[in-house]
Amino acid sequence: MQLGLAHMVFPGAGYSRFSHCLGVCHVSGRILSALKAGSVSITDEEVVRYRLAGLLHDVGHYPFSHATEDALSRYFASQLIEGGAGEGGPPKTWWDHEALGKAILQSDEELASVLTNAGIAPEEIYKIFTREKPPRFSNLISSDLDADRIDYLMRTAHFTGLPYGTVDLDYLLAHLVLDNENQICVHPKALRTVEHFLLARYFDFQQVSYHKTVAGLELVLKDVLRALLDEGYLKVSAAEVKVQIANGSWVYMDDVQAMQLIREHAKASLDPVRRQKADVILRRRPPKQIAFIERLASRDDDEKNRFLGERQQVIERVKKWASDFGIHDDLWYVWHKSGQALTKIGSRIPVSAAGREDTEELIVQAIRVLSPDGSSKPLMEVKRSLINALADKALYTLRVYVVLATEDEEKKRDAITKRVRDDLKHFEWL
Amino acid sequence: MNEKLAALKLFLEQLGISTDISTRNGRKRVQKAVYLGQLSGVDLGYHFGWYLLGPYSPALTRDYFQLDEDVRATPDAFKGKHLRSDVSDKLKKVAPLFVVPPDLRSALSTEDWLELLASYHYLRTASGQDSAQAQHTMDHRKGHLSQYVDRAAKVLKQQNLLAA
Repeated sequence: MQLGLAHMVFPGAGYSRFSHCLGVCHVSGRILSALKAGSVSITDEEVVRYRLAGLLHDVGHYPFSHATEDALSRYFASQLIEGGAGEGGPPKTWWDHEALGKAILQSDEELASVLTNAGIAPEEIYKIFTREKPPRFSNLISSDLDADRIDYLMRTAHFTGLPYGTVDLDYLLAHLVLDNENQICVHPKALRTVEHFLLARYFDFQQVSYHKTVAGLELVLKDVLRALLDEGYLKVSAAEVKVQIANGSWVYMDDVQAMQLIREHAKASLDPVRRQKADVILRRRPPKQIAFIERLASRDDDEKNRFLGERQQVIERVKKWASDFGIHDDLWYVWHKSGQALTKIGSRIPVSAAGREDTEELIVQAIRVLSPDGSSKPLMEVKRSLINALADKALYTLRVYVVLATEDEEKKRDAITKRVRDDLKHFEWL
Repeated sequence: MNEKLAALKLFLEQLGISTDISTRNGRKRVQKAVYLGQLSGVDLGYHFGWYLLGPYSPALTRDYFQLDEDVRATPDAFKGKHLRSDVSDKLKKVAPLFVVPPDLRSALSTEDWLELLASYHYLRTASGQDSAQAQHTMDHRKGHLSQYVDRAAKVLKQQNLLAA
């Protein structure tokens, strides 16, 4: 599923990654058609290839996508460190979803034959979504205003029933143009439309992906998946996946299969904490948000250091709270996001620190607005834009969660909350 | 402890690369160093695409910012952690890549040199360009570095990272 465990909070949010990819294919085509209508020279072959790149760009995603990649990245990285995971042999490698998508296109015979029968080499497609070959319209698949984000936003709004992702797609597409460096940008007439798009994405993230219960479930899911790796239930090194692609069994590695592995592991595991975590997912018993802080503030070092200090103070106290309340410290989680902003560049570096002469890769992916001289500039540099006013602002969020597995533990919730707040009285708890 | 971030920190330290990302050059240095370091066979799992400054990994960007936060919050977070000896040995073999040739030091910073090596290698391998195509791309996209392409090719071939 595209939205991981969000369906456990928004029951309609169970749309498949496949439907999303169909949407990306469609939107990619619409974007290119819009550019063609604006007299940009684009061949039919280019349109087909970009549509296919949109259709296949997520073919390499693992079950539970980002949670699994997080677990994989940590597991395989630990093999590089003394005393880390693994059977003691040479460290194994793994593929992120883009590399895996490339491997599938290179090795899956059925997929390759469909493409080659149509006169298309698989590498023409994966080189677009992996950016291995600098494509002409690279920002079509990966940028702040790309087919992926457009479909995601609209589809999530539709299936969750939340209105935040409503986008005036027709108007937006009608005002896409190329600047004099062949970068896709937006005509100034659609400035409010793209501002709305970015704000819609920001609110969608806060309400869906970062919803307190969804985020709590995802935290536990990462641990559950890590347990599957540690105990050999999930074998997904690059070499192992390569074999599964070749023998045709990789197609069966989906969310259903992953849930089955979680069930099997939960039944067999001798570790009570791991079983409790598996129950969080299998029986929909999300961890409880005990306390949280949230503020919109400047994206500068002072604010960041303040937030990091708060985070550290919480983390340092978890062991004591766990001990005092008799709940294993592995069942406590501290979720934190420092500096969530409206654009990527504002999330990593203050806009003020990434001037034109100090071009950063993230600037490349920012939404661009056409200037009168035919050049374009990133949206956050357009002075009359709301995004410009907000570009150096970011959201700082810190949440404390606890898995309360029994009725007795549930009864401790208020006491835990009081204790956390009392121990850190100086925090601006909400 | 986040093992991914620990491995990243240890990897960079083994290569003699600072984890200071407070400047654009610092961030560029880390990006290119990880790209080149992974060519040793030590795979951190970062996949690179072609961006404005050559091979770039958005996932790596997320991680080095997270690493920076974690180290600022807890300076001793990764104390006592070491790479496996076989991993360190592999990284040592590519150490020559990270030394700017003495005769180029007045012209190229370490970051520029790493950008040159990483970009040319990427074009010749991941992008599948031959030497003429790669030179053309470097001329058009990296004019400030393209005159040194032959030196980059030589060093990469000496390391057996490009076909002779």
